[in-house]
Amino acid sequence: MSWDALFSLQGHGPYLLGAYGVTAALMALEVFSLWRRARKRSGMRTPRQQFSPPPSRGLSDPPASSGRP
Amino acid sequence: MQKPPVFDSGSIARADASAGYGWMRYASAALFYPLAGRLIPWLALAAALFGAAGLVVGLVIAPPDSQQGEVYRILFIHVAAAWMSMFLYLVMAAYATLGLVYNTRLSFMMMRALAPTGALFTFLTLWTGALWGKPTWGAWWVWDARLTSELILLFLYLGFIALQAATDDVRRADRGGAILLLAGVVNVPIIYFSVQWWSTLHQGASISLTTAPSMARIMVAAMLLMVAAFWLYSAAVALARVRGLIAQREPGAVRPSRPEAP
Repeated sequence: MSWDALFSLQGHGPYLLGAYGVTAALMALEVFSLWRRARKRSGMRTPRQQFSPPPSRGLSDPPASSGRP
Repeated sequence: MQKPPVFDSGSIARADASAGYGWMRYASAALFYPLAGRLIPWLALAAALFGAAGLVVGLVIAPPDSQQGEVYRILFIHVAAAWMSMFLYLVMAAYATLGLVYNTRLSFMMMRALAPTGALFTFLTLWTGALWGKPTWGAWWVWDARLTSELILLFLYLGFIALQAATDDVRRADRGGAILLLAGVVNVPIIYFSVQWWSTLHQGASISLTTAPSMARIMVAAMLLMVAAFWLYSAAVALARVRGLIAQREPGAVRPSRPEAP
């Protein structure tokens, strides 16, 4: 089948484009929504997984609440 | 919004992980979550490759049909979507049975994860069928036994999804949805055999396990490539969705275990 026939508004082109186009669009929409949800989930989870001290302070610095200078 | 389940606990998930052996141990959400994460990219890649091959064979290589012309190419996705709509419903019913019999939480989550994809393929079956029917039959829709039973399948999927969203109690929603699914299983053989049991406008099966296909080999190849692509796509998106459900219902199964203090 030629590109001209597929993308033509004559003959069976619109039916084929409607079938394949809507199929591809709905599948892409489902994949996109799942990808966005997974990204949001991993973004929410990341702060809780950080156990290292904040980078602005050195490892030898005592915490401010310890009372040491 | 869903109420957090009462059984949500990381310690439960880790206890489940050590309970079983072999494949049964993947009934544990804690073990299944990373496995699903590893499988998804491979399934998605394979689905894309099979889909691209199916498009090339179906739209470029396969010749026009002597009677239908070019429009028969819709059938490559129509038949694949129809098979998936019935297959996914049966898989959901199998998970519903497992969940009801063994009370496995992951079975209910898989059942729920498959529903939107099944509904999508059922809608695509009806949509592509209408687009094929207009130039071939002269009508977008007829109240044919095959078409009507497929429409009922779409309503079953939508009813299941609505039932899951209707209650905050996750366990009640799971059990109610499972019973609805099992009650609706009777519709699947009705869809499949409707063209034999009744005089329908819809034609009979062109591909059967017991007889040679009544289509040219290149057309069968395009159709089977699309079936493989849709199957792999369904597996990938269902696993992606079930990971979200596990993270929502059993967050303890998702978080990596923290190092123990000495």
